[in-house]
Amino acid sequence: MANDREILREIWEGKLPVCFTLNPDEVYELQEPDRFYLMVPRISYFPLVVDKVRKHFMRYIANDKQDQEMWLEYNGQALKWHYPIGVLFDLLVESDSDLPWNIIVHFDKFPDTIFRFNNKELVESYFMSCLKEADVLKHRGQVVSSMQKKDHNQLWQGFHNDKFDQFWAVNRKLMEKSADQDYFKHIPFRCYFEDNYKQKLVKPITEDGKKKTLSDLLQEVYPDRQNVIVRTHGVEPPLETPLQWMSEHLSYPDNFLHLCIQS
Amino acid sequence: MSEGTASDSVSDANSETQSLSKNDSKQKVDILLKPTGNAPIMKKKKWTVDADKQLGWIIEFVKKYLKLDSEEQLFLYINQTFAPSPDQTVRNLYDCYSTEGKLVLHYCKTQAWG
Amino acid sequence: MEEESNWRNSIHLQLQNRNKYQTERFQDLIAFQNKLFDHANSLRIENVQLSVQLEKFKEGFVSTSTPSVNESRLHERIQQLEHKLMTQQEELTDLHKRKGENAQQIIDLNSKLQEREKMLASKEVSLAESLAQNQSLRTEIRRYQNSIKELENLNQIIRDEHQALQIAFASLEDKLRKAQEENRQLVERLINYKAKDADRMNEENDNFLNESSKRSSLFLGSFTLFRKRNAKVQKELEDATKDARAVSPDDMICVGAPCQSVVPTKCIIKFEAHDGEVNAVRWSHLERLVATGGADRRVKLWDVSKGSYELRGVLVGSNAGVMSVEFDNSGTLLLGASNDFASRVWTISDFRLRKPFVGTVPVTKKLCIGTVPLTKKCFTVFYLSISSLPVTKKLFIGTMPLIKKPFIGTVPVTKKLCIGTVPLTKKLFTVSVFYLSINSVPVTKKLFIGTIPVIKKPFIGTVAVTNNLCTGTVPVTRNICIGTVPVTKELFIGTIPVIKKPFVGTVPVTKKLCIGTVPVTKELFIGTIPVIKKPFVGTVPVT
Repeated sequence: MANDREILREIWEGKLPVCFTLNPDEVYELQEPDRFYLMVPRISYFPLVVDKVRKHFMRYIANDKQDQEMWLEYNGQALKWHYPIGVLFDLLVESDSDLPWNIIVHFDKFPDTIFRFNNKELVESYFMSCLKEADVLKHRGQVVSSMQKKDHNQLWQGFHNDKFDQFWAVNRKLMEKSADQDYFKHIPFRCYFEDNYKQKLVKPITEDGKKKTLSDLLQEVYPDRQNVIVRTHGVEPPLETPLQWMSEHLSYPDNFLHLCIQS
Repeated sequence: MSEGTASDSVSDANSETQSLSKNDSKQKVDILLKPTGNAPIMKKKKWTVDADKQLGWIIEFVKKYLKLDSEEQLFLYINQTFAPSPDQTVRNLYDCYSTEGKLVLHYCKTQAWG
Repeated sequence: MEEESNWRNSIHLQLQNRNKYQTERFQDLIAFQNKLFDHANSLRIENVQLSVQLEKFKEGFVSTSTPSVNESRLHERIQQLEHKLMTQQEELTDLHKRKGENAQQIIDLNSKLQEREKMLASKEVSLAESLAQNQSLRTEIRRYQNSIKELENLNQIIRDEHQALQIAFASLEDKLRKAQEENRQLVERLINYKAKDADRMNEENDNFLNESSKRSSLFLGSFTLFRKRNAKVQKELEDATKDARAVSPDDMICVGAPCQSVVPTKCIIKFEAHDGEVNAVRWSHLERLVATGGADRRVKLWDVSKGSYELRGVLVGSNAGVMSVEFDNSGTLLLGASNDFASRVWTISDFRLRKPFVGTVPVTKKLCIGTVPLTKKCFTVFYLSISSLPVTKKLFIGTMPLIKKPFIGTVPVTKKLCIGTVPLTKKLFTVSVFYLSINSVPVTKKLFIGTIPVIKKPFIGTVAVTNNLCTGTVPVTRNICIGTVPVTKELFIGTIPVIKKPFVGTVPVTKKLCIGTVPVTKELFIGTIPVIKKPFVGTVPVT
């Protein structure tokens, strides 16, 4: 049961300072545009927060490029629109000293390594799809399919409008264990390693009923790797943290644990 | 049920994945493509796909196979419940959602199970 | 628990640190920056606006304050004004032109207006005329209405009068009916008197006979049985006895054994005479000529002498069905009585109509026999002798001319009744007039020509047709059956001489044969009295 609201609150409120800079090559005006600073929630997605940025930089680019789709780059890498911001940060930024996060804004030459993910409806459907997938893993999808359309709406609206209580009022049900069991069927998680991620069926308990921990998970996913560091939400959870608790408390709003693996 | 291997599925093995899990390299998995709603039927349903392929690649493949326009959309669903992101690898999906050694994918031209 | 709180606390602490370092440190800064950013943005926009305004002001200032520029400006303005002046002058001339046009238009319109006024005046005149006409027509209408009213009044008066007259007419009709009733009673009384008269006469005859029988019992011996019955015959016989010698033995035999009346049974000729009912049939006195009168308004003459029939001529002129026909004694004239209330006379030789007379009986030379239909239902049959007949339109009660017997001769005759009469001479008048009442006629459509023997008494009234007293019948249908025509001289058809009874009803065809009712000579009597001197066919002389 996700009852540790302290943790949930801290996670929810995590924000990152971002400094957006227009790619100097694309500046069309005489004057260099000012940088644009923004506090963005870790749990959110870039397509949901960059409207102002886009508006700000539109004035400074060539007219014929204004209709083109914007994209973001950090450290030479295009940022994937459909990753949570926190995941991107944990993956790409070495240390907190790099804050604020300097992101370069592009309008031209959209790279083919990332998906076009520019409108909010796409984000919503992706988000809901992730929720469903997580529920399939946790409860064979029974909880989410028994929900009504308005519950789905409330989940999305709560998340999108940064309403903690509104979101958790519904999300609580998704985090409940099945009626006849103390644990989820499987733990929904994604292990990010560099450019890709892995997903596997991992149960929260062993066959003899012992709680599995983060180290058990790492063992199952990467059986031939030792001493890896796991970061999520900008923290490194202890390896002995139980998976069930992690799934209940450290999941992103899409109900997945997004674990960044570093050697 | 005839079986076939999707063309050029052999190529492009992901080096990172390889390095992470050498056992899985070049692994191939069976997938079953089933139409839903108004989607046209594929003559051949059963395919063997390189496990490192992303779902987006399969989408493009099916679209090409059904001779759909590039603007037309195609959605792939798992368990008739959710549509995984296009950058999800076939391996991950196979690991999580295969039944009896096959990954069943439902495809349709409009969003289903929204 | 300890363990659990360790990892949990670690995570919590890390999260708190994370938020402290990553979030809180920058949050205010960035919020402030954002604010400044917005502020600067708005200031920039404002600045731009202000500079634009300033630019405008500057421009305005320059235009008003620099004189050198002003002069050139003035010049420009003068030019502009001159230009304006020019254009306005042009406009002025244009306006002048237009004014002229307008004046012309006004003149045109004035002339048009005058025309219209003229038209209006003429219209008014015609209107006045129409009004006057209207007035006169109205007065006329009123006049006609008045006259209509007067006529209606008149009509009313006439109607009233008509009603009054009708009432008067009705009362008069009543009176008439009463008078007729009275008349009928009177006639009855007269008949009674006549009957009494006849009785008395018979009685006298009886007495007379009785006296004479004593004197000539030889001759009359065999007839004593009949003496009482027939006063008239007896009386006649008295005269006849003087010439009784001439009677043939045959006759005597016949007399001796009185034969029965015989009704002819065989039809000799049968033919269609008219288009419709045949109402009348009559023998000619002189020839074997038969006249028929029919419902087709015609009288036809037939020659039947050759044993067959031959149409001699058609006598036209009647306006309704001919009900009765009669020849005159000379055989030159024919009298027809018709339902149109008129009787007509034709000449037989040329079939021409002589003279129609209505309701009256022409007074021919000697005898007139005829029937005059009075109403459609009533026929008056009468015998007329010139001397004795009053002829009126009224119901006629035939009078008996002369001699011994009273005669009552009016018979209401319907179409079904036929009355045959035989006038004789001045001296002897044997009138076997009989009445056939409807009930006495066997069948409706049949004509009877019959005789009625009168024995003791003149016969008055109706006779029941019995006892073979009926001779011959004529069907009224299209087929005339002439059953009464003797074929030979010897044969009589339809007549039966009866000893005891005087015979009436056949007419001799030739001088010797008498068929019917008309005696040919003065000497011959038909039907009633045997004549001594000449052979007589059809009657039986009584010795």
